[in-house]
Amino acid sequence: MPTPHARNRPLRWLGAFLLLLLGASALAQPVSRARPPIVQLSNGLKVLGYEDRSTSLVGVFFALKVSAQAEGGELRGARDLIQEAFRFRLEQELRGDPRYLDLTAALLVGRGLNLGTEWDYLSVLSLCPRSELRPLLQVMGKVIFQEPLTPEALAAGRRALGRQWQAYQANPAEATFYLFRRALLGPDVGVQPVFADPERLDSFSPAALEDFRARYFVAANALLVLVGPDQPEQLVAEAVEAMVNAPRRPAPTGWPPHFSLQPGNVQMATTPFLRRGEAVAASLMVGFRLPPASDVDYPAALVLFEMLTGRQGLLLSNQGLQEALGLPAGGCPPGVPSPLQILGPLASAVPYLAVHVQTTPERVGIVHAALRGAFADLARAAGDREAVQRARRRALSAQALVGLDQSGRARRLGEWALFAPGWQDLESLPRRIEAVKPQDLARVIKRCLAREYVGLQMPE
Amino acid sequence: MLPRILASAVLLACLAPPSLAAATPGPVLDLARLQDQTLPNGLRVIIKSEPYWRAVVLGVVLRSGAKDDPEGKSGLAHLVEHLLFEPSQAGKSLSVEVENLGGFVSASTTADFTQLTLAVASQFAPDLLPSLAATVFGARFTAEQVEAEKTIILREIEDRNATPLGRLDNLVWSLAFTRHPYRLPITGTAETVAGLTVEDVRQFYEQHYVPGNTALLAVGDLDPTSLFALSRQHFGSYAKKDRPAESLPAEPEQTMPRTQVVPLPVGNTLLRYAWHAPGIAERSAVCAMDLIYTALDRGETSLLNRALEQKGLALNSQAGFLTQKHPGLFMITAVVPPDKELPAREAILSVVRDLRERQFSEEELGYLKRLLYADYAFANQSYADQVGSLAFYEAIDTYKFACQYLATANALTAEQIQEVARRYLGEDRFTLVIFRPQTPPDEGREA
Repeated sequence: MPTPHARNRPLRWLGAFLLLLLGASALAQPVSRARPPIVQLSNGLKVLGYEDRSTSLVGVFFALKVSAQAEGGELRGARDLIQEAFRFRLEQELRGDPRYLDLTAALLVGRGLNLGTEWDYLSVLSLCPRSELRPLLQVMGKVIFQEPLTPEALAAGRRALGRQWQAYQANPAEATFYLFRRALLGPDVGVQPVFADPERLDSFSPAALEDFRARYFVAANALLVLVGPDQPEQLVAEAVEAMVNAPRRPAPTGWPPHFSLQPGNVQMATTPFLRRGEAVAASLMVGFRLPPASDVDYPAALVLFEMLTGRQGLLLSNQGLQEALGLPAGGCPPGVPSPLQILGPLASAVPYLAVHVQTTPERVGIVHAALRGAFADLARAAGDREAVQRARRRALSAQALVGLDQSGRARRLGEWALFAPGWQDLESLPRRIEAVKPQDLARVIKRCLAREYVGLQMPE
Repeated sequence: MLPRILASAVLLACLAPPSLAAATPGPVLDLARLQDQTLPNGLRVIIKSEPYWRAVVLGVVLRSGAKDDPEGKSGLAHLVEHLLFEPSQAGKSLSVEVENLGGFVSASTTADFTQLTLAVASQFAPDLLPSLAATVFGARFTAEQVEAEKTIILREIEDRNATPLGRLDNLVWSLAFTRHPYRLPITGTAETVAGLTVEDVRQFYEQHYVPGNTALLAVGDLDPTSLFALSRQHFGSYAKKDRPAESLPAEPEQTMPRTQVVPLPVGNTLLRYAWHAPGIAERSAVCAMDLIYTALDRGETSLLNRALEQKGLALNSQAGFLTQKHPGLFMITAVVPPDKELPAREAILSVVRDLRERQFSEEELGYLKRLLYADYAFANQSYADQVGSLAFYEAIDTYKFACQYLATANALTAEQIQEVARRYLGEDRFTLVIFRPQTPPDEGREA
């Protein structure tokens, strides 16, 4: 089978750049010519075009490098509020405009536009018809970089977040995850939840929000990835046309967020939301810090994670854990949701793996001990050739299947461009995963699993 | 084919048909990007090579489904599909094998066909072909496996019957059809499933899971030449056997309305109208039905929304039409406050009457065609979606229609659409099922 990802098209790119340099003064130098490079516009915006003719749609991933650390304590939740204000304005602009007809149709069926607030960055993910790419980018450029935040948009954002706040509060796993992050990353302002309560959101002054926005929401602080049915240089040219008028302002410093290594610890809290009638539960999350995407051990961390997952992985096949969770021998019966969720390792400033379990308060100690037993099995399994082979294969498919459509591919390329030395490294990742050896796994186990981080919520 | 999606949480407040200023969009599924071969044993192999990402989605579609259940054994096709994931005599299970490769596998049974889909990193796709072939053509079943799977299916049936929408669906099809097997639930009933035996399973499998009744589909990072060769190697060794002859009873024309009212402990009235609709043999007519469905269902300024939700006559409304091998149903479903049932019913019939009596303007039709394009483009956005579309049309007609679908719809005139509405959405040819709260305020009144 061909490996088209290894294709090298330096000559075409060289020609394209000469053309663009002559024809569009907006362009500065490419970051690399070895692969379709990330192009930096004169206003600092970085753009990656990636050819993909599998459909008539274009996957759009737009990221702003604004982490929770940037909010400080005073503006906790401001990023999420501004995102919601953007959502309101983007939909308002796209609504009923004939230029966005197909995208509008997509919005009608709940597709087309997805705004996300991550701890490390903000994103807009879209899948739009090729014919509507330029107008979509024009609207995004105008709303995100140019126009001031209007009272109407902020009010709409506050209303939307008010509704989400109710759901957030009622979900104990969200708060347990926050406790786990505090254990993992320490008492840093960047650990704070991305959500804020409605009172806090009301307390932000418009001037403070606009200052924050003017500082961080600038072209030089953003990355745009376009995956679609055109030559990369044509996709980049659409971004040039649509976004080059965004003002040129300096990028803020302080990204990616930095978190010093913490000693293992437990963060605990109580909540009324674990009581539902007669039923009382405890919510436990146990995990470890993993090497970042730029680290030589990252592929081994991906394989290690896969050793835990799946029906034959070390968690669900662990008899002690099955007993502790009250599961029948052989694991969870078909159709019954698993009481155990495994998270990780995402592309982020600090990747981690974590297991969340909901159990009864009196069984927390037993379940925690059983989880430790399953984690301890990793050292043995790292020497088991069959188990390692299975995990390598699972890791390879996991990397491939995140990109079954163009928006998934755009996100994956974008995340890799943000957190790894270069997006081109994504192409070598499968080869690096296949090369993971037992000694690599043993090294990661020694390096990462010695410090255990725990978030625990008990009922009030 | 269009997905049936509830128009809930619609984002847009106002969507008047705008003028068509946007550039012409590209093809969603380009026939030139597809290749097919028929193996000597009758298996069809259809490949869309997309060398942009290291993933492959494989599908196997069987042109048999619940419509092919023998008389009195409804649910058999569905039971066999469930059993495909049981470990073989060699102790291997396709689902475990796929899971160990980090992929995912799913299967479904419809009235017309049965489909398996699996996705993996592209380098593992060749490894899976022997197991996939053995699952489809070489499976063995034991009585213990059949009994265990029946227990799971009986639970599924119970769960479905516990929801008003599940019950409504079963009731509408069983009332609208009197002879054709579309009247029977795909899962079967608790009674028919309980009576199924391992011999039934083996007989159905031997008759229907044969190369001449099957297509293998692949979309993703693969070399067609190599995959055709591997298909011949792993699937071609199974003996040639053609699809079983299909002899289904024709459904007599419905000439009078059929209505059933069911009192239920629900807060609002749930009602569904159904009209007999064209099958795939009438390609232009099914595309016309999809445009009618689009006009009725899409957006807050859709015809149903304007007639019902915006007038306070319904909390939610939905139109649905699934293209099928044989003539199926076009349906309108609404959740209405109990005191608004009669005006809501009148409003629905008035909207349908209007479709028969009035042609879409050129502007409206252009707008509907763009909406249909967007819907179809997003319904084919992933490799798995594309395998789904190609398999769908290959099962009931030919995969090529998945590529010709939009062109067929675009060629339709307002007059042709009106003709289809007149032919199928007749005033006295509907079936109506109403789930009414047990103590309705207007008890005794009937439209």
